[in-house]
Amino acid sequence: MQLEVFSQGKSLLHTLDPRVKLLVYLPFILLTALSNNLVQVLASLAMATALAGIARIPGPHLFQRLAVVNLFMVFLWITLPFSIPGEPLWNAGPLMMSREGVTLPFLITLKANAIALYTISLPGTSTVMSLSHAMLHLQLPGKLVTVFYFFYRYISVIADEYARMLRMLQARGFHATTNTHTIKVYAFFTGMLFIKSIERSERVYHALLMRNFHGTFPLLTHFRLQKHDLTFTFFTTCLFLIIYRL
Amino acid sequence: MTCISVNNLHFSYPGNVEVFNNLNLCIADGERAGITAPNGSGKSTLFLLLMGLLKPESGSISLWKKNLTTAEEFRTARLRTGFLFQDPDDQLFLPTVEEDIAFALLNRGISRDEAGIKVDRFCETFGIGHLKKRVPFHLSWGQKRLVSLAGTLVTEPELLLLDEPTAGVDDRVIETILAYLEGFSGTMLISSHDKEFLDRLCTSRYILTNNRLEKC
Repeated sequence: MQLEVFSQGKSLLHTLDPRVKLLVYLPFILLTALSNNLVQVLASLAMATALAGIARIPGPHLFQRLAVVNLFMVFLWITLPFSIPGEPLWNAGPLMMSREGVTLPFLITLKANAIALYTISLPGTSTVMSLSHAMLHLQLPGKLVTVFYFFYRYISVIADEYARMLRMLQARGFHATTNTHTIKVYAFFTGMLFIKSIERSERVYHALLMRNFHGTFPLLTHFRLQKHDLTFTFFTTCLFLIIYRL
Repeated sequence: MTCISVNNLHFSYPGNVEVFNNLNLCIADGERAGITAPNGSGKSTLFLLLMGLLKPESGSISLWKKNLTTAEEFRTARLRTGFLFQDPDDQLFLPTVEEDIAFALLNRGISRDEAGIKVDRFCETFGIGHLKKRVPFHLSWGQKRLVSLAGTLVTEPELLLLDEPTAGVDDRVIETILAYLEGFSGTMLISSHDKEFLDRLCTSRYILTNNRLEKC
């Protein structure tokens, strides 16, 4: 499924206990998100890139994901340099680009890419179910974890319905062009997608109730901490402290 | 002893789409009842009503001589019932086949070890042991049907509701299903268009037409 595209693999990160991955992931992304120190953010980006390398994430897939993140950054680069006051860097009539206005989107871009890389390399290399399970072990509220898993499950339901309906449209000779027919078809498509997804989600919920679901997901298999989990935690903690002190 | 008793049941979907008008049904303990009906006549709706997953406008539903009215009463009745849904994709929820089969057991507080033993036993019975670690959504339709059936039967229910169990599956899967169900000692209510399957399995037959259920 779309949310688990990096979860299958045989790298070290794929074999780590999801609890360890979450425990390592959270401090790194918090440090990266809260830091205003360029050296610290650059070091964090290097660390995240190294983790993506260790996870052996296929390049094209990785760049595709990072491209989506950086698409949002383009809007920051268009607006921020001209809207933040500070030391002038370049003038063109009423437009004034400031040094602070350039530094800020640069820092945000580095942070966003680092956090995206951490997300892909650490929680991204586990299945959503094992992450949900790990969250429960880390004493996160059960209801929150259930909402998280349901979100994932139903996003998948909507994605399946979307793919099925799209195939149906193609099989019946629909070709999108710039006319009112296309707009009408897309409007019906969107409406039907939601109706079908709601109906399907109701059936899934009924099936859960029939199997005595009461808000939690007890699992058959459980995690066991291995030697490499502890080694990984030790080294990443050391690296975290080094980056923190920069 | 009566297992299922439905009296004067009325049910309509929103928009005044009447499904049942004064429906009556009585199934004895140990009876294997087959229901045939045209598409859209309310077979699946009847099962959902029996399990309290839909609310009737009026009428009464009793299981094992107990009149069910509250959500808690239906929840207790569901503990003794297995329901195989028409579409296995609605039923399969967890990331591996073994977790999915064990789901209802673990929800009932059965230990992981005991659940694991039962899962292994049912996987062997249905010939799906090699699929245990597979993702249920990626299986073939017939395999999904067997996994969902194993997940339904693993709790060893007293009452079994099977909604189109043979729809879209090949003869080999039908034989596997029949081999297990022929030895099932509880009560069964099966909705199906497969007359041969019903002939081999059922001790009584009903036809649902014009919002009424008639024994034949």
